[in-house]
Amino acid sequence: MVADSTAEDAVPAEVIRHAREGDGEAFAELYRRFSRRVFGLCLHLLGKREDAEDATSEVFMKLRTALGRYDDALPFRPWLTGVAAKHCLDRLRRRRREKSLFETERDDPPAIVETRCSPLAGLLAEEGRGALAAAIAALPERQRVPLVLRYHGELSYDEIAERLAWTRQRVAVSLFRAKQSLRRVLKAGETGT
Amino acid sequence: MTCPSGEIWTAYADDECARAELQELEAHLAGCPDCRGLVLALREENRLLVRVLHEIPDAGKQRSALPGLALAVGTLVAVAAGLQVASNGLAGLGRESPVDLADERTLILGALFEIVLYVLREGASMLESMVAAVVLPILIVLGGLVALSLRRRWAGGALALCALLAAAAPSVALEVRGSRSERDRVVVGAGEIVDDSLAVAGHVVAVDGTVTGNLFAAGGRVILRGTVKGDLVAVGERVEIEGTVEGNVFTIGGTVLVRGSIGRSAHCAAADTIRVDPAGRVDGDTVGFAGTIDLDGHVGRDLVAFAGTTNVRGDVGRNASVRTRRLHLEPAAKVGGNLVARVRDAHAVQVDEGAIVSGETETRLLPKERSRYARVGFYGWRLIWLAAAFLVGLALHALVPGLFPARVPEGVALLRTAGLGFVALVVVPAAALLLMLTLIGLPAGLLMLGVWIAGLYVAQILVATLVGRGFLQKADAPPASIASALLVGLVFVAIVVNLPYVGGPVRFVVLVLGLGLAVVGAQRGGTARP
Repeated sequence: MVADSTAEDAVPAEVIRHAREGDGEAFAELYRRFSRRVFGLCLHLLGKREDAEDATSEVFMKLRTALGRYDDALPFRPWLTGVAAKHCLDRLRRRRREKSLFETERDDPPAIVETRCSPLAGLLAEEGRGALAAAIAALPERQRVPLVLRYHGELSYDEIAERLAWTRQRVAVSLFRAKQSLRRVLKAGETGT
Repeated sequence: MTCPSGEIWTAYADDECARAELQELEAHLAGCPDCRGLVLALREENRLLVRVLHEIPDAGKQRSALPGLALAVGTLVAVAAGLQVASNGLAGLGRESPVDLADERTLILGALFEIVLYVLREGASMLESMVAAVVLPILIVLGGLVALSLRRRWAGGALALCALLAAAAPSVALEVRGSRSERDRVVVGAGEIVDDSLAVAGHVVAVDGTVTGNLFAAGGRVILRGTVKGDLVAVGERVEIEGTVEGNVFTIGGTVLVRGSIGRSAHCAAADTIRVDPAGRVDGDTVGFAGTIDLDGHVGRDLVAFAGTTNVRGDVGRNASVRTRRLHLEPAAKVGGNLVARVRDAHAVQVDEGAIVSGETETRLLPKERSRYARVGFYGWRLIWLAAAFLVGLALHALVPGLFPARVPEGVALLRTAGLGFVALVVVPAAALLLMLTLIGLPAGLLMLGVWIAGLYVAQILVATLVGRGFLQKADAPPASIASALLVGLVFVAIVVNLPYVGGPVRFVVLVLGLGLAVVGAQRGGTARP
C-alpha cells in the first residue's frame, strides 16, 4: 500500500533468526528497516515526539526478548506493529492512570451521527495533507487510536478490538466517527479560508 | 430501494464486512452508481489516510531542546571553528612552523578529544540522571590536562572564546535530535530528507538520508551513508563517511574513515587513524592530525598532515606537506605539486619506485629538541613574562597584602595547602564546566573559569615570593623587601620551570602549592597583614 513497505516486508528469515540469537548486526538490520515505521506509529498514537522517540527505543529494547515469542509462520511486520501498538497503549494507559482506556466514550452523546458521508478528495495538495495530519493529531484518543492502528498499523477490526478490549462494533463506529470528524474539520478549514 | 448507511459502506471499504452481508452489498453496488461512487471515494480516502499517517510530520514544531545537547552542539561548532583556524594558521605558517605536533603531543591531543567526546556524549543524560560520579573524574582529568598544557596565556582566552562561541552557536534553523538511552541509535532513514541543519547525538548516529543544511553529529559511532549538502561536523570514537558531503568536513575522533566523497576540504583529528579509502575522495584540501594517516584515495588540492606515520598510496592534486615520524610513498602514490617532508632523520622518508612527485621533493630535518633554548625569542618572552609578573606581583602586594604568605607552611599545614591547591586546580574547572552544561549557569561558569585562570597566574607569583624570601632570609635581619624577594623568586621560578624534563613537574608543584596559598590567603580575607 505504501511505497516503502514492500522493501521492509521482505525480511529474510535468517536475519530474524540471527537477531533472535543475539546477533547485533542482524538486530541493527531490523532496526534500520523498521524503526521509522515504529516511530511513526508511536508518534501518531502518543502524539508527542519525545514520547515517540522514547517509546521507539523501548520497543526495540523489548524486541530482544520479545523475538523469542515470535512465530516464524506469521509475517513479521504486522507482528512487530502489534508489539509496538501494545507498548504505546500501555504507555497511554499509564499516562491516564486508568485501568482501561477511553472510559469517557460512554459519556459521548449518543450519536448525532450524520449518516450521509462525503469522503475526502483523494489528491489533497501538500498543505491539505498537512491539515489532515494536524486534524488526526487533534482527534480525541478514542477516535485517533483505532484510526492509527487501522491505517498505520494495518490491523483488522478484530485485532484492534482485541487490543483495546472493545467490541468489533465499537471499533467500526469509532472509525466511522473519526472519519466524519476529519471530514468536518477539513471542510470547515476549506470554507473558513 | 434504500441504500445501506455510510457506516456500512465504511466497513465495506475496509474489507471488514460480515460474509453474510457481502453478497447483498455487492448486488446493491451493481445496481447503484451512487453507492459505487461512494465506495470508490471511501477507498481513495483510506489510501489518503495511509499516506498521511506514514508521512512523519515535520519536527519543526516539536523540537526537543535538551540543554546538554545544545551545548554539545555549540562546543562542536566552536571546536570545528578552532580546528579550522588552527589548521589554516599552521598551513599559512608554512615553512618555518614552530609548532611540533608530530609526536607524543598529537596523542595527548587525541586523548583529550576522546575525553571531550565522552563528556559531550554523556552531556544530555548527565543532567537528568546525575551521574556526576562518573563524569566528574573525567572532567577532573580534563581540567588537569588543560592546566598542564596551559603554557601560554592566550590559551585561557581561547578557552573563554570557545565557551562564548558555544553559547552563541545553536542557531534558529536547527533541528536537534538525541537519544537519552545508552543503546539507542539516532537515524536519518534512507528516504528521509531533513530540510534544515541537523544536530544529532546518540550512541550510534546513522545518517542514510539527506540533510540539506549542516550536520552536527556526536556519538560513539557516527556513520554517514547519505548526503549532507552543507558542512559536516562530527565527533565520535569512530567517524565513517561513506556518503557525500558537499561542503567541508571537520571531525574529531578515535578513527576517521573516508570512503565517500567530500566536496570541499576535510579537517580531521584522530587519536588513532585517519584513513581515506581508495574509493574516498576529498576535492579540496585535507588537513589531518593523527597517529597514523593512510591516504589511499584522492585529495584534490593540498595535503597537510601531522602524524606519527603517514602512508600515501593514493594521489594528492597539489602540494603535500607532511610532518611525521615516518613517511612512506608507495608505488601508486602521486603528488601533483611539491612534497615537503618534515622529519627527525632522513631515513624516515621512503619513496618507492613508481611513486610520482611532479614538483620538488624536499626533506627537512626538524631541529633538535634543544632548539627551544637556542632561540632568542624564547628568552625574550621569558623576560617579558618576568617583568609582567613582577609588576602584577607588586600591584597585588600593594592591594591585597594578606594574600601573600609570610613563610612556607610546614608539615601538616603544607600538605593541607597543597591539597587545597590540587582541589582548586582540578575541581574548579570541572565545576565550571558542569555549571556551563546547564546553560543557565553559563555566565557563572565562565566567571569561575576566569577566576581560575587568574588564580593559576597568581599562584606562580605567590610561590616566587616565598622562594625569594627564603633565599634572602638572614638569621638576624628583618625580612627582605617585597620587590627584591619577588624579583629573585620570579627569576628562579622562571628558570626552573623552563628546564627540560624537570620543568613540567616543577610547574605542576608550583601551581598546586601556589593555588593552595592563594586559597588560604583569600580565606584570611586578604586584608590582614601577614
